[in-house]
Amino acid sequence: MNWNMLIFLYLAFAMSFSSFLAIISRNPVHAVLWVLVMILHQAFLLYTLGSEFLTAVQIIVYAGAVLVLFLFVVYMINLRKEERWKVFVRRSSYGFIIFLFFLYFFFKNLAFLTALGPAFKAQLPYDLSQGSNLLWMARYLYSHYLFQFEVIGCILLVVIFGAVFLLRKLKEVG
Amino acid sequence: MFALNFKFSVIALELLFLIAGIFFFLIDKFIRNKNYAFYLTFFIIILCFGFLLFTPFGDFARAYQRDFYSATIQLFLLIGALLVVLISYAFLQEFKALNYGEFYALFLFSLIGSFIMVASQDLLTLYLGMELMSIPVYFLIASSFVYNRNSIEGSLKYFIAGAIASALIILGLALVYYSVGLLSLKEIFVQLAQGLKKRELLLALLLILAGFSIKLSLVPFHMWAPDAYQASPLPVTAFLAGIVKFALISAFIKIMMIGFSPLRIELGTFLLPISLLTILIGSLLAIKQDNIVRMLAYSSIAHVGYASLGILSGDYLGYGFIIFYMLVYLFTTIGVFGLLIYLSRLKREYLEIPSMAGVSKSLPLVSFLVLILFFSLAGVPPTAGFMAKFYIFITLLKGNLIWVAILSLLFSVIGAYPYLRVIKVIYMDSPPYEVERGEYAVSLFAPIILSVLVVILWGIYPKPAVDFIQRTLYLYMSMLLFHF
Repeated sequence: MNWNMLIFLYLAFAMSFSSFLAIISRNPVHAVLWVLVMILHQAFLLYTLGSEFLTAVQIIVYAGAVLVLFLFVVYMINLRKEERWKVFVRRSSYGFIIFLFFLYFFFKNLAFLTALGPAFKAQLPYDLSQGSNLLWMARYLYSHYLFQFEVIGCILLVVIFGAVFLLRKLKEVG
Repeated sequence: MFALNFKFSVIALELLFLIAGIFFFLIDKFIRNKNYAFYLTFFIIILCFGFLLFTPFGDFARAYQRDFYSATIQLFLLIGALLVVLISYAFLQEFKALNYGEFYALFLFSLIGSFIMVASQDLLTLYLGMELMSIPVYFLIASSFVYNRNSIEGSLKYFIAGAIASALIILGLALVYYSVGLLSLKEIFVQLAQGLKKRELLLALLLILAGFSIKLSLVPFHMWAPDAYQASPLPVTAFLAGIVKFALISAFIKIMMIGFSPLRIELGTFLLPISLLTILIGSLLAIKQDNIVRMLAYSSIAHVGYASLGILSGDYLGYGFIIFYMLVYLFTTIGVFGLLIYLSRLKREYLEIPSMAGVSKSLPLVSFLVLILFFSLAGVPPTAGFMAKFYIFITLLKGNLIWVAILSLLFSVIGAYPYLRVIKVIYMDSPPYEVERGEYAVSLFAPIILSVLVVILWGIYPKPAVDFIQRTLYLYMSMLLFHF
């Protein structure tokens, strides 16, 4: 057993354990924090696979933006009543059956799933020895996908403009 | 890596719209008289007709291509946009709290999205164009919260439905990327023509179809449409029913023409029950509605169902007839909503069908225009709506789908009832009180008269328009591999 395997096992165990805790914890803030732990481990797992860009995205977008939104929602909605419920979802045993069903399919198609990764790596249109993932991504983003990149910029611009428009009318008209 | 060319002259229209939209947002705070925005938008759209004639054919970074198909569809979209801007001027004179430069700017942004969508060369650009087209419309719907508290609810419903559509389409794109390795439509065609990965690509196509059917409000996903239509300001409803649906249908036809064309028979079998159910449910639910905007929303569901019948047979003739159908529907809707703006300016209650009783006594001209446009929507012979339905049924008969043609013919009899009911209320019921006449504003009645003339002209002699569209499709398909 080498170091890679040890690190992977630790990450896998930590991720599944923290996601389990996120589901069963009664306090919603605790649940969000457990999801944060899960996401940080996931980011590290992606880093061990050699995709540093996805690691950064994982931390900035998920840990930085999405979880803050979750916290806002948790603070805005009063969850006192729900916290006192004995059982949150009735008939959760059906969920367990569906879980077993998925588990069965997972193990049945294990060979297919494990072959997916190398197949994708063989299909990559660029050579990783010529530069890192980030470098290749930047190259593609500013040449082949320039138009799409600009359109995404337009979409973000429109969203900001629209929000300002609605707020301005709320202020001026009431 | 192959050579990419960045010809900015190809995307000149979009750049012009973008600059104009940003200009509105920068300048609007400082100008007191808001009518400047209308004049500027009108001028820009007129300018764009010239641009459309003189911009060269070609591609921008292999993502956006101006060719016969996209240029023609963009021409139709521009005509529709011009009419919508004209009728929204008259609307905004009445509803001052909506009269901001941003209103027109969001229109322009939405137009950019629809232009990108019909000219896209790969599925990613198509998806992004679709988002850019829809997002301003969410804001435009929500913007009327001053007058109608429900508008935020309608906007949110449309937004959530749109988010689900995005999720489904992205799932489809992921499957395409998994099986082809690229998202370009021509690559998908090459892969499918070799008979590779047929199952994965069919699943991807069905996911994309599900996303499109949410946006087009085909039947299992039609719930958002009436609320969103009723909640939005009337010109925005015209935009949503006319231009947005036209752009979506032509983009889907583009997918079916190049990318997934080997799968068009399989798609037809899946689409057949959906379109028949769409027509049936849209027609049936329209019968019960008392609010005329809600009735028109259900009728637009049914009309998209008729248009999607043309995809079933899977020949290129049918695609051209769908575009003709949606074009007729575009003109008719804009005319109808212009008339509704006129009526609602006179009296807010005129949007309820029972209170329109006896309008013909005091407003004979307006009632006559309503009569012609509603006859066109119902498909009564001397109007363009009849010819459009006629062509769609011809494609069905050519594709040996005779029972589908008979069924949809029967459904169109059901669908005629709500329109005829409005006409009966206007012409035959006695008015409870005398109505004063409003002035006939030129900016409002010019687009209405134009659309009525188009509807009558194409009802009598549709050949030039249909030939124009069919010739466009023929040229586009024959020049497909030609690199401009």
